[in-house]
Amino acid sequence: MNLLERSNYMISAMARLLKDADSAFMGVASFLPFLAIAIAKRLYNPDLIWYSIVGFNPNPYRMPMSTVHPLIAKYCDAKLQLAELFDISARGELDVVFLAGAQIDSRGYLNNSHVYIGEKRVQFPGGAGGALLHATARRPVVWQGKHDPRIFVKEVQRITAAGKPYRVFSPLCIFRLDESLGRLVVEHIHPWSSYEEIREKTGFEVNDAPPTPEPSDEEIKIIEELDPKGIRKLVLQ
Amino acid sequence: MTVMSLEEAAEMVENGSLISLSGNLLFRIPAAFVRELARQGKRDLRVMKTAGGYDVDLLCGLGCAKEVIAGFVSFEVFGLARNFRKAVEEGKVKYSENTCYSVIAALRAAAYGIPFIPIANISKSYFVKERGFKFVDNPYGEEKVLTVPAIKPDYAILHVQKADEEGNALIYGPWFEDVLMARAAENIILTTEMIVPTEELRREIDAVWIPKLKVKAVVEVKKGAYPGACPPYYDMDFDMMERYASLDEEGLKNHIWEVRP
Repeated sequence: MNLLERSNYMISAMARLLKDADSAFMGVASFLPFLAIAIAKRLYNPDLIWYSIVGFNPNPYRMPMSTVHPLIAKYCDAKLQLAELFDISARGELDVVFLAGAQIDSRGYLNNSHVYIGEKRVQFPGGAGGALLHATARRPVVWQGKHDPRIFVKEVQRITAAGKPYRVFSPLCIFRLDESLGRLVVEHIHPWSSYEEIREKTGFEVNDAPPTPEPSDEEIKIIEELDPKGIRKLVLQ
Repeated sequence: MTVMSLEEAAEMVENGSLISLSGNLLFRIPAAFVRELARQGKRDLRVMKTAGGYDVDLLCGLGCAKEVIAGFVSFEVFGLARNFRKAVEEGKVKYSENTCYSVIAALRAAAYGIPFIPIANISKSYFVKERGFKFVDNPYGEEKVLTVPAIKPDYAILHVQKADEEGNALIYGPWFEDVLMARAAENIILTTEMIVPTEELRREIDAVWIPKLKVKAVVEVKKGAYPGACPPYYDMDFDMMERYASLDEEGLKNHIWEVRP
């Protein structure tokens, strides 16, 4: 399965999570969540409120090369300034937020700050709005375009953002938080991966799980309409 | 006179100043101004922004910055900010990491004229302790409240689409933190795509949220956000950003003289 088809599986599963959501927000470089929210609004949940950094309820006809491109603001229902977005979450009014993690641990905490490999510091960009959003949004959804034991670790060296993730998406599987165990468990395994592969590439204990459902033709049609050039595959490269 | 050249405006910024930069990532960034700061060999700047990109990377890579106060520094699709990373990894720049929300809170406190401001509880994040953010008793309730101190920039450096000669200015599209920075800062330096007559600016008064107060310089710089975008006039230069993302310190030294202003 090529990278475009793989990303379609992830987008579809993200979109279906939003069927009962009140609102969703995605930030920078968030191509998969951008397409998932667009699908959810068109197919499953027309009342879903889409918060973006550049405006309230965008209605884009294309996905630009930046998910915070001011072009998106031209197709919004109302203006919204970035600072207000954080206020919305701090007030407890934000339902789903999509957060990327450079490093993700078994609790679903994120490290987007830095790691030390021996004496050597490896610097990440920082967590952007993640620290607040993970802690205050009702259902944080974490995602990452790569899956290896340096990324999915038992415990992150630095906690940039902590909260209770609703789901965690990797290019191999989907995790959910089991609150009684206090850690992530595998909910679905993407059809191109396997329990053995995930066990080998994850720094904490994992389980077998059923395959991720296929994306539907309607979903794929919207993805291809909004992203005809396949920008989304950059996430998985 | 408020209208001046880019060189004159950059000369106003003393070494060691705390500057906050307009825009977000690669959008409406004061790129030409930042290049001029680098050409003048500024040192020890403290640079503040919620989400930086080209501007922060360039100042770090050329040794102009000693501290970055931000929540994120990267180039989005163009990859990681190589020179920023290297400077932080080698200890040449202190990354006073925040979350965008706490940078905004620090600016709000400065804008409101108060010493600190309560924020939502993000105390599990490691940088809360590193930054020294403190809990205080809530005088009206039970639970303790996390606070951040005000940060007042010496200069807000804003790139806008239109300004008049006195420094009234409009912003088309998202403000990001720019209007807040203008309120919080001690002084404002504007670079603008075009200087227009005051009467013309008044016709678009609904977009004019930067009054001339505190504006110390107005510089007309066409394509002042290049290689970033300044909608509705131009998008990012994708080829240039791809090349920029792979430049090392030597490459940056050439870049600031090749890309003029």
